[in-house]
Amino acid sequence: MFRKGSKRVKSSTMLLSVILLTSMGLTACGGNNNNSEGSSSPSSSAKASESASPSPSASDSASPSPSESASPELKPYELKVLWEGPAQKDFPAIEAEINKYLQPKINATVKLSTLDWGVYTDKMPLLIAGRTDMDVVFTAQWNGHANNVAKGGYLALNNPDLPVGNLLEKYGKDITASLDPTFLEGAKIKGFNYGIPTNKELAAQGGVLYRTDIAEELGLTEALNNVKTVADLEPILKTVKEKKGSSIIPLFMKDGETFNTHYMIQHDYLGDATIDGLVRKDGDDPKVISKFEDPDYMAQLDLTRKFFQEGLINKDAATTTLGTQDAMKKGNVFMITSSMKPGKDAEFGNAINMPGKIKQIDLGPRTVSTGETAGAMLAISTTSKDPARAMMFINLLHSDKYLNNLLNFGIEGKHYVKVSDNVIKAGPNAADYNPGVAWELGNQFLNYTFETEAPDKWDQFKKFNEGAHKSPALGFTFDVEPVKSQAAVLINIAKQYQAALETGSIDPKKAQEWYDKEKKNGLADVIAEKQKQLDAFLASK
Amino acid sequence: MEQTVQNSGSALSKPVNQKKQNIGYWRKYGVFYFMMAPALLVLLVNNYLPMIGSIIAFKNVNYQTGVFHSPWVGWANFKFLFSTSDAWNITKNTIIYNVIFIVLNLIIGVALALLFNSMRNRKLAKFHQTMMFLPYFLSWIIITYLVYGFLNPEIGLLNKTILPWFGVDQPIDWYTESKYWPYILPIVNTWKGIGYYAVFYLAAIIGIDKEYYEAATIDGATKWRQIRSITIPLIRPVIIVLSLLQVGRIFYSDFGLFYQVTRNSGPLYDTTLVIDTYVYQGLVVTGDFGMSSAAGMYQAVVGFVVVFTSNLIIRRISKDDALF
Repeated sequence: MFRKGSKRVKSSTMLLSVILLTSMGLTACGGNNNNSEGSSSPSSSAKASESASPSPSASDSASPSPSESASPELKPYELKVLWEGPAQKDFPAIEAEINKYLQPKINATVKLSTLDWGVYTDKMPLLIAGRTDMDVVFTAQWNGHANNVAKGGYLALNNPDLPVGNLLEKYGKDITASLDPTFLEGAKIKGFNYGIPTNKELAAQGGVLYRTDIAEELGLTEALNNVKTVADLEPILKTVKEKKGSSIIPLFMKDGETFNTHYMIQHDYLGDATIDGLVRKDGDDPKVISKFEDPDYMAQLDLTRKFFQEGLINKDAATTTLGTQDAMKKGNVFMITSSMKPGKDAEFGNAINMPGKIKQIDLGPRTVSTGETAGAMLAISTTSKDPARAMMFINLLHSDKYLNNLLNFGIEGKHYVKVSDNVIKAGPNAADYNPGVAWELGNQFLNYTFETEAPDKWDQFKKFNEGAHKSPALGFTFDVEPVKSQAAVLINIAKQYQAALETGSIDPKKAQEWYDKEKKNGLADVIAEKQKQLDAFLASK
Repeated sequence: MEQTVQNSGSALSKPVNQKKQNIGYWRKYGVFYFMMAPALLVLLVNNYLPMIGSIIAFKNVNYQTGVFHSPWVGWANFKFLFSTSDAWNITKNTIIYNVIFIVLNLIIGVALALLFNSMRNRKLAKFHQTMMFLPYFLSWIIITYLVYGFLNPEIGLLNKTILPWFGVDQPIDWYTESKYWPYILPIVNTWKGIGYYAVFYLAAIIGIDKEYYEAATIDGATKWRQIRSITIPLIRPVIIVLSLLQVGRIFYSDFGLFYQVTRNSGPLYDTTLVIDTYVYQGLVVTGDFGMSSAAGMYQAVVGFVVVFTSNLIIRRISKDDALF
């Protein structure tokens, strides 16, 4: 009897312990899942309670905004600045140097941080949702600007009805004075600017970048100089493949870095490029069409497929997560696709520590669309405790040559040395501070040029901007809200085909399958909505 | 634990004239409640409190105004789950893979546990057990690269070394051919998780009283017979509990397995797209919390229903084995 009883106890406790253990194990799994899917920022849960409290901008208005015009006393404030790109070892040194300069000017200090390439797009919505403390934040149309604005992440900078007032008018006088008005006009969302565009090239053009040392070695320089179209690249890449074998990848591609993105085909997707429905940037017709209705797109798919089958493109192009810049840096890549601007090759060469070894070939016409005007901006987070100060800082980045170059190139004599007044070369500690993102921060026309770059780079920029064709939808950004269920479905479908097709990894015949599937899943709704919003926008102009 | 929560609730709501009795109850059992309190609190904070967040599924969230002040949108957030022509395919993939995983974990897990148990050399048994358990602790990212080492179209072990042994010279492009993945995924999943389940079954087997086996040996029962008539029936409760817990998550899928290991390759979607990856994919661009909460809620509710139904069925067949 006793034994039987004890046995029962034993098995039931064992059962209980098993249940407890498994549930622990499973919840642990669940927890992991959540982590990998999203909230890798530990602060999100801790800060969640804050989101219930009234918006920070309201509390700002309560505190006196001292810097109305000539107010002498600004309270000390730390500006948290965040941009996209690799983190830099010498951040503390740069911060100290900036603080020395900034404190007498606007009594602010800075705290610099970055989110790495590619990580930004996923992580920024989490930082915003977690109400993370940020002031000046880099943002761009290609990394989720419109969505983050729709979710209330960034402050409207020229809305006089906000408690903080029209920041741009009050504290951004130097910006409006120096920046081409097309930038601010084009980057508007529903009438307001949620970011100050970087003053840089306005037009966009596609092209390729290649290694000149390899080209010279193989005697291809002459042929490369005569390239006019994508098809002209074929014999050159073939030669590279024949002579270099498997040690060099002739053309490196990945998802989004192909002949078919905005580089070569002049598509304006009116917002996120994964949602079908576009107008041609190089035309004047404001009719929204599907990309499959554009014969150029289909022809380019065929051509890319041919390249792929001839072994000119890396085999893992459809799935690789390696960025083109990092791929070039590794040294086994001959050519990549890229967006173009004057001096892109020299800038790129510096960024990957191969100064002077990169050259560019521009392909296709120069055009301007919303994507370009909003291609690099500095926004002010809605969590900023002092948006006015943040605006003053952005204003300085647009007007103060010393500050701008300090942030972009580091400390003179340490990270760079001057060759002449406006021309610099890498200094002894250049590796510790080389953000390489001057196009993200303020006014590029203030930047020093490297000695490997053309000294008249900024004049070339001005020329580049002039005479570019304006997209018929310039200034318009699509609001996905009314069709967001259809969009979520279409994005999934695009993921299934886009990368594989556009890198040439699968047969272009699959494009028809993609088109049919889109048509079955609400493509007509999305295109109709895009057309409706675009027509309304054009009518209001 | 839920039952005890209910009990305490009913104890509190008893009429006043039973107060005296209540005091007696609390004096007798209070210490147990006290002991339970920390775990209960954790459960409450971690598992019950967040349920309030389910309302996000019915809202159009704006970060600036906060969840509670965002506008209600009814069922609109659920629409995208069902309005796709892939809805059937995604659901099918999710459920079929999970059924395969549950069955494999059960059969191979029990078989391994039996093998471990019958190893004479305890040290060797421990060694094997640990080796089988090790992959469970690896992150999916690491496993992704291990798998990639095998399947890389150009330099992978399979295309370069193993397939030529069998006379297959044409390299297979694993990451664009969807037909191989219904085999690859269960293999990878089993390799990673099996040690974990084997340990559970082993613990249950070790807990069985040795006298049963002694008696059976004296009666002349073979090893096979002992397993069939003693071991399996006695570990049945554990088998049922473990399987039920997995069944409860039948609408969830391991994100790491389906997103990372497949390198999220589009051409494979016919056989690899599951609810979790579909939701992630569709919402990472728009970043809409409402829609992802809707998906999570849908999965949770279906899982809840499935667990209750399967428990009900088990109770019909054999009441003693039902979980609750």
